[in-house]
Amino acid sequence: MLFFRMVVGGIVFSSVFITYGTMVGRDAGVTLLVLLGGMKLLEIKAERDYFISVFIGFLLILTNFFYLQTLPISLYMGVAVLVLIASLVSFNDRGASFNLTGRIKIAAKLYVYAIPLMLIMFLLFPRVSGPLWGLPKDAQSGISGIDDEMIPGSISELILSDEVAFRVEFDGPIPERSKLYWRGPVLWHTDGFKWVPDIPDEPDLTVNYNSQALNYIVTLEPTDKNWLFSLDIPSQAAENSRLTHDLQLRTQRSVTNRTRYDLSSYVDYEMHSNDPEELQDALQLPGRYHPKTIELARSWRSEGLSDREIIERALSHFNQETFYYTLTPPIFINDNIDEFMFESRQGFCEHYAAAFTILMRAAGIPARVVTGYQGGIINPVGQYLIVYQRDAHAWTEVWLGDDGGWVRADPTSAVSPSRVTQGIESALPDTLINVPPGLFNNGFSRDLWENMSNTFDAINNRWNQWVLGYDRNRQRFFLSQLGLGDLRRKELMIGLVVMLAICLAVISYGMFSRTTVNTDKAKTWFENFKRRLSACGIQVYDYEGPQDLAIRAAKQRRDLAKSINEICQTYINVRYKGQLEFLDQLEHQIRLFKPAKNPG
Amino acid sequence: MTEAIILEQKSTSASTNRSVSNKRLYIFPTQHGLIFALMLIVMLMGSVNYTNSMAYMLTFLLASLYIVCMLHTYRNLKGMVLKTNNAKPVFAGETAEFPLILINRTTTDRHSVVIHPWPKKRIGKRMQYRGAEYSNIVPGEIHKGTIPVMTQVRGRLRPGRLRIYSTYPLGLFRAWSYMDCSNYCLVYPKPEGSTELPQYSQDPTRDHYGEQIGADDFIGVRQYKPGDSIKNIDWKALAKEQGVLIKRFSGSGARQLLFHWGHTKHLGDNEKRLSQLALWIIIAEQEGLRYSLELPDIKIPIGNGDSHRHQSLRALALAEYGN
Repeated sequence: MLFFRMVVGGIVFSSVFITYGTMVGRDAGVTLLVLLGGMKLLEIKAERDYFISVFIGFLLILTNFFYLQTLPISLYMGVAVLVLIASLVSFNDRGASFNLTGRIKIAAKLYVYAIPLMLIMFLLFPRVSGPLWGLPKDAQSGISGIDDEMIPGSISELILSDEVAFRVEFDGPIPERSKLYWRGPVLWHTDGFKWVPDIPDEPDLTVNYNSQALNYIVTLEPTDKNWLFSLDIPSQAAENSRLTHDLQLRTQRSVTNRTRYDLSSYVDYEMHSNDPEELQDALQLPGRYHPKTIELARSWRSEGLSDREIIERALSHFNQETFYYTLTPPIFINDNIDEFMFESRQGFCEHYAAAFTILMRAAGIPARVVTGYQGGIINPVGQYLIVYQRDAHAWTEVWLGDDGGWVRADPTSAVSPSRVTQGIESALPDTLINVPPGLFNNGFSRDLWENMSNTFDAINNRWNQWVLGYDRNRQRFFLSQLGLGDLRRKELMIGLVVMLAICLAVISYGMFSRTTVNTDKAKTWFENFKRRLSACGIQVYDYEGPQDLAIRAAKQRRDLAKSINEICQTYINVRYKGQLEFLDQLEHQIRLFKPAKNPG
Repeated sequence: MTEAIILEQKSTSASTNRSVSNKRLYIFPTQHGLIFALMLIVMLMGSVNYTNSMAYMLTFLLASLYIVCMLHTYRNLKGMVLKTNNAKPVFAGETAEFPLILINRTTTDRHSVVIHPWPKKRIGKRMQYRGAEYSNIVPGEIHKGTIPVMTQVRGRLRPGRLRIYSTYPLGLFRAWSYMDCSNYCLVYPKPEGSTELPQYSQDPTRDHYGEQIGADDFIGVRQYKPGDSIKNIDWKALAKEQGVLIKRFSGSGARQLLFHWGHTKHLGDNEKRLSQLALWIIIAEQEGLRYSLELPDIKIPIGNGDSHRHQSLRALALAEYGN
C-alpha cells in the first residue's frame, strides 16, 4: 500500500513538473493541489483524512480567486464553502442525527454568525501595498490590450474583445464622445512595418490650456504593461507614475492589479515642444519603403500648399477617394502602406494612422502616431464611462510649428466620421456587437440586452471598486468617511481587535443569555402557589407531591378544584415531563390563582 | 448513590446546589483545529502577497467561522447536567455498566456528546471502555445511558475521573470537563474451577438436615413470607387468585452445603480459591440448594436466594488475604 502510494505520488509530482517545468508558481501549485486533493479522496480511511480533504478544498477555493474574482464566481465559491462546512458538520454529527438539509442549515447558521466578523476583518485588517516576496511569473496571463508597438492588425484584433479596458468616473458632466481620446503609447519610429515608441524623456513643453480642467478617476483593469491611459493631455502625472516628453503616463511597475488613479486633463490646449531633436525624430521615414505614398505627399508639397492645407488635403483624400473602414482588410504582401493607399484602400484605424503619418512626414511635417482608446459607453445605471478593448484606436499628431504646436489629426474620422462621434458600434456591422446568440437581433432585444448589461456592469463596477479594489487607499478613504482619518497600522490592528471583541460580545450575549432556562422557575412558582393555598387554609406538607396535593386540596375546596388541578397538572408537565414550553402557562395560571379565604 | 455535576452554570436555587456541583468547562483546538489554524496563516500570507481581495475575504470568513465554531462548541456543553450511579455487580471479565443520566437544562438542542473514563486505559489492545455517546440531546429531556467499563479483577471498580467532551459542530475545537466519580461497581471473582460441589459439609451428620424443606418431593403449600425464594411460588395458585403460596418439598435429598475456605486449599493461589468458591455459589443457586460460606474472617449463615447470593459473592469480591 505504501509502495502504491509512493508510485502514485511520484507520478503526480513528475507529471506536474513535466507539464510546467517547475513545482512553484500559481499554475503548477494549483495543479498539484487539485491532484493531491483528488488522490486524498481515494485513500480516505481515518477521521483525519476527511478533515484533510476538506482543508484541501478550502485551499482550492482560495487559489481559484487568483484566476477569477467576479461576483458570480465569488457567490458560487461562497456556496462551495458552505457545502464544505456542512460536510465538517457531518463528520462531527455522531449517530448521524441530521439529514442533509439539517447539516446545511447548521452550516448556514454558523455562516450568519461569521459574516459580521468577516466584514470587520475585511474592512480593518491593515493592507500592505505590493507583494511580500514577489509574484510568480505566471500571476497574470492572457491579458489583452494596447501594446506599445503597432503592426497592421494589432488594434483590429482587439475590436472583437468585449473586455473592459477601464472605467472612468468624471467629477462633473461627461464630455461628448468625439472629445474622448484616451492617450496611450505614442509611437515615433517605423521600419516600414512596425511602429515603436521613443525612449521616454523628461517633458520639455510649454502648454497653454484653453479650457477648464476635467477631473476624473480611472479604474484600469490589469494590463501587465507599465503605462496608464489619460484623457487627451493630463496636467500632471498620476500617483506612482511620471509624464514623458510625449505626454504618456509611465509607471515604474507594470499594472498587474486593477488600479485606480486620479487625473485632471484638458481637451482644449496648445502644446509647444521646446526640443528640436524631437521634431527631427518626428520626420523619420523608413528607408526605401512606401515610395508611392511619399511621392504623393511630395507632389502636394510641390504644389506650394501650406502645412495646414496639406493636412486638409490628406484628410480629404481619405474622405473623397473610395477608402473603406473595415475590420477585415486584405493582407498586404510587400509594402503595406503603398498597397493600402493605392490598391485595396481598405483598412482599419492603424492603417489610416500609419499612412497619414507617413504622408505628413514625407511632406516635411513632423508627425507621430498615438495609440489608445477612443470613446466609451456611458453606463446610465452607475453614471460612469466604460471603455472597452474594442474602443482601441490609433490617430496622429502633427506639428504645426508656432502656429498651434502639436495638433491631433484623426484620419479615421475622415473616412468614417461616425467612428468618432458615435463609437465603434456604429462604424461596424451589428453582428459584431455583443448581443448574445439566441437573442433576436432587433431593436427591442438590443435595448433589453443593453439595459441588462448596463445594470450588470454597474454592479460589477461597484464590486470591483469596493470589494476587489479594497486596498490601502480605499481603506484610508473608508476610515476617513467614518471620521477616523489616517490610522497607522498599529492603531488599525488595535481597532480591529476592539471591533472584533465588541462583535463577539454581542454574538455571545445572543448565544448564551437566552439559552439557559432555570428549571427551578417552575418550582419557585409552585412554592408561591403553595403559599397561596396555605393562606386560604389548606395545609401543605413537604412530603406531598403535586398529584396528592391536588387531590386533597380539591376535596377541601371544591370551588377551586378546577384551577388547582390545572396548575398541578401543568407543574407536573413542566417539571417532570420536561415540557418547558408550558412554563409560561404555569406562571400565568398561578398568577391568576387568587382564592378567597373562605369558600363561597 | 447518585452524583451530579452541572457544567459552567451558576445554579440559583439552593435545592439543586446541594447535590449538583458546578464544574469548569475547558476548550482547546483539536488536532484538526490546529491544522486549520496553520492553514489560515498560509492563506493569509497568500492573500497579502497577491493582494487578492477575495482571497482575503475567504481567509477572514474561515477565521470567523473558526471563532464562531469555538463559541458553539462551548455552548454545546454549557449548562449540561451529568449524573452517575453505582453499577450493578458483575463477574470479573464482564463489562461493568455505570448508569448515566444526561440532562439538557437549556432551551436549545445539543448534539454529539461523549462521556468516558479518563485517562484512557487499555486492556491488551482494546480500550477499557467505549465511551457513552449521545447524538441528539433535546431540552429538558432526561437521556439515560451507560458507561461500559471492562473489568479484570475482583473488588470495587471505580471509573474514577470521567471526561465529558464534545467537538460539535465542526470538530475544530474540543470542549470538555471532568467529573470525579466516586461511584463503583462491585466485581465478583471470576467463577472458575471444578463444577463438582464439595461432597460434605462441616458436620456430616447434619448433611441431610433439611428434611422439612428441600427440593425433591412436593409436600404441600404454605403462605408466602417475605424472603421466600421466588422459585418456590405456586404460580398456578396465584393465577387462580388463591393468594401467594409457597410450594414445600420434602428434603430427603436436599443438601445443605458449607463452602469453606479450607475446601479449596489444594488450589493454592488465593484468587483461584475465591474463583472456585464463586463457581460453587453459582451452581448451588442454580440448583436451588442452601449453602453457607465460611471465610477466614467472615461467616455467612446458611441461606439461598438473590440477596444471599449477593452477600456471599460480595464477601468473596472484597476478601483481602495475603497470599
